[in-house]
This record gives sequence, structure tokens and C-alpha cells, in this order.
Amino acid sequence: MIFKRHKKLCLSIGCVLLALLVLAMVCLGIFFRLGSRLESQQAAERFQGESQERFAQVSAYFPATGGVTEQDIWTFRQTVDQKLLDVSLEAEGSEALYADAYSAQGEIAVEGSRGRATAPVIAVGGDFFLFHPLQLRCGSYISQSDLMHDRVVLDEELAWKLFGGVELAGLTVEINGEPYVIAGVVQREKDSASEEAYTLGGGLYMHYDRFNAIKETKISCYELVCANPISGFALDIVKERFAAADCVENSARFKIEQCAENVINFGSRTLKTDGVIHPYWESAARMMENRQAAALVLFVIFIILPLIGAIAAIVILLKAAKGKIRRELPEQMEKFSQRRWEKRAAKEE
Amino acid sequence: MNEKKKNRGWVKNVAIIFLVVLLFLTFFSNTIMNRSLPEVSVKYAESGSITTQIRGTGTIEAVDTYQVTIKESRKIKSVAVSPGQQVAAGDLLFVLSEGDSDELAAAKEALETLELSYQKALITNEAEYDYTRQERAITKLEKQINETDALRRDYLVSAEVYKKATDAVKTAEDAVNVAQVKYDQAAKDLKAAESDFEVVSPGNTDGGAVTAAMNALEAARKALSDAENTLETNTLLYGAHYTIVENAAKSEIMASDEYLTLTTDSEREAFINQKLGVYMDYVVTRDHKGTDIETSYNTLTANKKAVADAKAAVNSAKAALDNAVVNQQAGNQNQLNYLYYLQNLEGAKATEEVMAKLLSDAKKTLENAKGEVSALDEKKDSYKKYTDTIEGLQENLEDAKFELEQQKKEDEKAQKLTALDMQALRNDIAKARENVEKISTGTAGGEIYSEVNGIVKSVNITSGGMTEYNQTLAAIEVVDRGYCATMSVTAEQAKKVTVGDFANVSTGWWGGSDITARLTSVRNDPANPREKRLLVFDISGGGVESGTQISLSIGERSRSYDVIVPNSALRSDANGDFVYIVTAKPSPLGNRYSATRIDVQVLAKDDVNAAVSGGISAYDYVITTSTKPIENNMLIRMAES
Repeated sequence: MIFKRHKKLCLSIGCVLLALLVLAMVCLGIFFRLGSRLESQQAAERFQGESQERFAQVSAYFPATGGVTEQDIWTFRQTVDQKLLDVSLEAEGSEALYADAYSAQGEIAVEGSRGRATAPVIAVGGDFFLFHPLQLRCGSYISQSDLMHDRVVLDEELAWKLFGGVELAGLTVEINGEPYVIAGVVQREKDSASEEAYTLGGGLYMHYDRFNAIKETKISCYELVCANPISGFALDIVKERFAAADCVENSARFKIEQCAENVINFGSRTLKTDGVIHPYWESAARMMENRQAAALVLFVIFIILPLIGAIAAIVILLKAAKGKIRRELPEQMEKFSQRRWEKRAAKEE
Repeated sequence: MNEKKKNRGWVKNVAIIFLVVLLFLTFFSNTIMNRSLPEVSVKYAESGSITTQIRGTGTIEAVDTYQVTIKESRKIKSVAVSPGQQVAAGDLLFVLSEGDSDELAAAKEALETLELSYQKALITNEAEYDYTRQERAITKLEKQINETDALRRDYLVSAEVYKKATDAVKTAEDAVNVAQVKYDQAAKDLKAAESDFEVVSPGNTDGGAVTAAMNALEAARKALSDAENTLETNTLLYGAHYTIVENAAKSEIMASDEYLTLTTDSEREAFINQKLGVYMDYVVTRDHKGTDIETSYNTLTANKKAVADAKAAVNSAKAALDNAVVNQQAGNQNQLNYLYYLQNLEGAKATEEVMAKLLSDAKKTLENAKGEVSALDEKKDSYKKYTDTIEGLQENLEDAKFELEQQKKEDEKAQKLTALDMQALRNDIAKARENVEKISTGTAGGEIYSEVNGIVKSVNITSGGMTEYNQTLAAIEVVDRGYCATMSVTAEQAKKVTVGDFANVSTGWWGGSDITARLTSVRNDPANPREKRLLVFDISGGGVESGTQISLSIGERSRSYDVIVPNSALRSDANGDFVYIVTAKPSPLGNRYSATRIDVQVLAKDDVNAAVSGGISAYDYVITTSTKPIENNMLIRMAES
């Protein structure tokens, strides 16, 4: 009745609520989409593959004044092996229960056939490109297991600057007077957060031990993807060993609980007292977290009215239905009874 | 009715729109879907070879470099060569200024100092070792010991003798005891006899005759006792002389004819007793007249006579007493008793006197025995004192000998050490002389010549400069021995190369060169012998110059494999290594492609490709790269190229 009486009003309200609902769904969609946008935060899913084991990705960022060395990494790997053994987890055959990578940042002069540049360099070790699967334009990635560590990976911008092209696999650049072979050329991340976070220009990736031999630099970032039999297992291992570092569980950061916590601590999130300078991918991830938090807030805002409207409509409908039933039920019952009586009579006849 | 038409019209419009959209999506679904799918680039898996390249850099240097050094401080007058110049053995390199070098002067001074020290040492160490004083002291001690031992011998008391003396004392004591007992008994008997006699004394029945006779008997006994004492005393004094006379007389008697006619011992003894007095008088008169022997003999003879007379007097007195008693006792019924008790008394007195004498003799014997023992004890004490003295002297003697021995050993040691020092000094002097000679002859003529053929690599001094001891003046590369280059690699990389392999050489990153490099050895890198190895290459060819920086690339011997994929196609996760191959499925709207995971094992790897084995075969399409992450069985679209 009320809908019939206020048809236009109800329609208008319905459209508004529908619009708000759509917006809420869009925000929800954006929320989940943002969570899977950054490939650098999806290493756990990639590493898990078809395994039944749970995995978690953890990153540790060290203060500018105190990084770690390769020797610390070797020691930590032994710790991880032991911790996994303590919970009865042991890799069989070619399986692996964890993979890691480490990196340091700096600058280096590099010369190609067409020019030279002082380029930002990310000195990498371990399986860095498992965590950062940048799209290859040519060639292949570099890894610690490579026999020769005189290979580098350029990004497109630097490749254009030094050679004027991107098909450069096998060519040579000169760094610190020594030749280095180009293993591949990669395309940087295309998501908006990474584009916004990375402002250094054309850069390259080279083996950490070679870079350290040229310019002694401590490792500033360590990433680990590890079997996670219980929540927080991998994070605790990293925190225990690298107490001074800023440790983050990447695989849990875009979940709704973490997002809700980010919303609550939104004001203090940017407060940094540990002297850690995050690499661009972590800055991009934090940017995504902020956006995700905003999407969650908008979702909550947008869903409130439709929810209230839906509840109100249900209540009204229930009431109307109740009245109608009370009114028409006896009449209908009588009509039904009469029809049955007539049928029966017709049958008897 | 119109309202119904409007309702149907609305539905019709919606249905039309729906169908149009459906058709649109159907025709363009492939395109739309393709746009949303990840785009991948693929490559064939094919057979081929894997060649691992080990790359690095090194610097060319001569295998042998001759260092021209100088062993003294001299001024360089002129430098005859320059870097890069070719020289032959015997070519002039440097001209030195004249004069002694500082090293030669210092060497000469050192030699003089050593020679002076040697002379002083010769004088100081002329030691003479004299042991006369010590030997004299030892001899003195030995003499003292011998003398003391000789003195000691006089006081040696054998155990037998001492035992005999102590036994004699014991025997004498026993004899004294026995005599004492007997004397006591005799005294007791005398007392009893006296008391018995007093009862029956003739003084009861008689008067003075018996008493007088008794008194006379008593006096006679006293006179006898005195005479016996006198005799005993004189016997001690003159017994020896008397014995001499007695023995002489006996000899005379035994030499007489009458004696010789006697046959039995008793006859002979009786004859001797009979004639002894006369012969003794005769012997004294004949042999000892006017001597002490005569005096002694006469004295003793008189004493004996006095004793005999006294005995006779006693007997007479006894007889007189007996007569008196008999006369007195004629009418006395106790006469026999009186005589009996008188006899008893006489006997008891006589026994008492004998026992007293025996006791006295026993006591004297005991006293003598004790004296003997006492004397022996004194001798023993003296012997012990001498023994102690000898022991003390012996100890001193041994100390003196030991000290002398030690002194000799010390002196011998000192002598040996001195000899060693002197020898060392002589050796130092010889070395110093050699050094002077060497320095003197080292730069004869003040010129330095090359000893090898080669190219002067560097000249480290200029004209007018002052050299230092052991300074390298120039380095000459001995080109005849060739050139080499070293490259540091990891132990893992070193395993991939084989000695004898050739390496590619480039002198700049812009290209190759005519230089050839052959691996001649692999050894530990001194900088990090645990983890690093040094590859040593023999360098030859055109344009080889020492100091040239070269890049070397040496490969492991190629091996062929059935399936080789690009490194970018190789992926890994918790389940191991794998690749994605493209699987095509036909569909009404065209082929649909999906990515299929194939687990593989990496057999070998180089910079570009990896040899794998597993569920992949040659000519499978492997996905090398994609625009988005792909998963197993995910739909994909191929890159347009």
C-alpha cells in the first residue's frame, strides 16, 4: 500500500539505494582487485603452485644504518631449515619448503654501445625474480644459482638509453671497467602504485656479490616465502632473527582484517621511527593498502543505506503481508472451502 | 487496453536489447576474452648443446721478470736505458759514482769491531785451573783418618773378649754369692758352736789353766793370722821374685842326678818339696846375692817361717789347751762334751776363717773382673770416640772430593762455552770479511750491466739519485719466457674448465683480438684459497704487451642434450622446477590455448638455455614470458608475432 501510495518516491529511493549498492559492490570489487594487483605481494601463491602446503611471504626491511651481510643470510637459512625440521617439515626430492631473496640499492656508472649513464642499481641475491616477476622483453632473469655472476638485467628505459633497443640478451655493458653480459631486459610494473613509487629512472639489476665488490653495501631488504603450517609461523622466524628490521607478512596484508586495522591506525601508519627506507615495491604496496582501506571505508559507507533500505523494505513488506493475510485469509479460506464443497457436490452428482 | 500494450512494448524492447547484446558478445566473445587473457610468447623446445662459458678479466704480464737490484747505497751517475727499450745481456744499464758505499764502510767497520772483540776475548778467557789447594786438603784429611784409625785399633775390644770379661764378672758374682752363703753358714755355725761351747766351757769347772791355754791359743791364732796376712801382702809384693828363685831352684833340682834317678811323679814331687828350700837358698846365694831378689826371697822366707812357726804355735797352744782340758776335766763328766764342743768351736772357727778367706778371695776376684770389664768399657768408649772422629773426617773428605769434582765440571763447562763463543766470533768475522769482499767486488768499475735479454719494463731511479740497499733499480721483462695472464674464478667455475683449453680473448669490450690464450694450470687463489681458484693462461700472438687488460672467456666442453629450453621458460616453485607448455584445444570459435605445467629436471645450464628432462619433448611450445602471471590450465593467448 505504501509503495502504491508513494510510488514515485519509492522508485526514487529505490534507484538511489540501488546506485549506492552498485557503488558498494564496485568498492568491494576494487577492494579485492587492489589486493591482487601487485605481483610482488603474490609470491606465496606463485610458490605454492599445486602444493597442499600453506605458504606465507614475509619481507624484512633493515634500517639505513644497519643492514646485514650475505653471511647473515647463509646463517638465517640454516635457522629456517632447523625451524621447519622442528615442526616436522622436510623437503623431499626436488621439493622446496622455502625460497628467499635479498637486495640492496645503489648507483653505478654503466656504459653501453650508444651511451653511458649513472643508473640506479638493485643488487640482488637469492631468487629475486620469484618475488618480482617483471615481464621479460627478452632474455632471462639472473639468479644466485647462475654459474657466472657477471650478468645483469636492464629495464626498458636503461636499455633504450644505452643501446637504443630492447633485444639485448647476450650483449655486453661495461661497469667499473669490466664487461658484464646482459641476461635480459624487463618491463617495469604497470600498476599505478608502482609507477608512482618508482621515480629513479632507467635502472638495472646485478648480482649482489659483484656490486658489493665494487661498492661495499649492506643488504637492506630480505624476502622470504616459506611454508606456514600455522598463522604467523614464517613471520615469527624472520622477526626472531631480524629483530631490528621492519617485518611485514605480505601474504596477509590485503586481507580484510589487516585492512580494517589499517583503517583504525590510519593516522599513525605514516609515522616512522625506525630509520628504514623502503624499496619502491614496498612503497607501492603501502599505497595499495591505503587505497584498499579507502575502498573498504567507501564500501562501508555505501552499503549502509542500501542495507538500511533493504531492512526497512523487508519490514514494511512483512507488515503489509501480515495485514493482508489477516484480512484476506478468512475470505480466501471460505472461498477455498466453498469451491471444495462445490467440487465434492459435483462429484457426488 | 492501451496500458497492456505499453507493458508488452516494454518487454519487447528489453528482449530486443538483450538479444542484441547477446549477439554482440557472441561474435566478439573471442576478441573480448582474448583481451582479458594473458598474452604469452613461446619458443620450441629442441635438441642442442649446452656450453657453459666462464668469463673474467686478467692482465698480461711476462712469465719471468728480471729485477735489477743493488746491494748498497751509491749515487747514480747516469741511466743508460728507458722503459720499453730492448736490451741484451751485457748492455750497460746504470753508471755509478765513484767511492765506497755506505754499506761497504759499515761492513768494514763491523769487521773491525768483531776482530777487536775477538782479541779481547782471547785475552780474557786465558784461564788456568789450579786444584792444588783442594788436593792438599784432601790428602791432609786422608792422613788424619789413617792416623786416627791407627790409634783406634789399640782400643779395639773384640766381642769375644768383652763377653769373656762379662762372663767372668758373672762367674765371680756367682762365686761371691756362693762364698757369701757358705760364709754366712759358717758364721752361723760358729755362733752356734760358741754358744754351745760357752755352756760347756771349762771356765765352769776349771780356772786359769784352761783359760790361759785358750788365751794362748787365741794369741797363737792371731799371730798366725798376722803372719798369714803379712805373708799374703809380701807375696803380692815379692811373689814374682820368689817365683823366679823357686823356678830356678826347681830347675836345679830337676837337673840333679838324684832327681833323674826317680821314676814316679810322686817321688819326684816329694823330692822337689824336700830339696826346694835348700836349693832356693843356694840359688839366691849363688845368683842373686845383694839384689832385690835376695831381699824379697829372704823376706818371704822369713814370712813363711813365721807362718809355719805361728801354725806350730797354734798347734802347741791347742795341744796345751787339750792337755789342760784333759787334765782339768779328769773328773768332769762334761769333759768329752767340752772337748767335743771345743773341737766344734775350733772347727767352726777354722771353717769360718776359711769361708771368710774364700769370700774375700771371691770378692777380690769379682772386683778384678769388674775392673777388667770397666777397663774394657773405657776402651770401647775410646774406640767409639775415635770412630766418630774418623766418620767426621770421612764426611769432610767426601765433601772435599765432591766439591773438587764439581769445580772441575764447572770449569770444564765454562771452557766449552768459551770455546763456542770464540768459534762464533770467528764465524762472524769470516762472514763479515765475506760481506766486505762481496760489497767491494759487487760494483767493480761502478757500472751495472744487464744479465738478460728483454724489454725494460720500468726504471725506478734517475741520474743523481741515491740508491738504497737492496733497491730495485729496473725491471726487465724476459720476453724469451713468454707472457701469461691469470683470472680468479670460483671453485665451482673452475670445475667447468680443462687444462689445455683455449679461451677467447678480447682486449676491449668492443671486440676480439689476435691474442690467443691457453689454459696451462689451475691453482688455489692465495687471496681466498678455500673458495677461489686462479686460472693461469699462456698468452701468445700478435700485439701482446705486458700490462694489457684482457677479457677471457673459456667454455666447458659442449654436450648435446635432447631437450633444451630457454632459461626464461624455466620456472620453479615448492614442487620443483617446471615449464609451461601451450596446449591447444579446438572450439567452434577457433583454437583455445591453455598453459599446461610440466615438471622437469635441469640437467645443465648456460647463460641462455637449459637442458631439461621430464614430461617435455622436442618441439613442444614452451612459454618463455607472459604479460600476467599464469597458472596451470589457465587460458592464454599467443603473442601476435
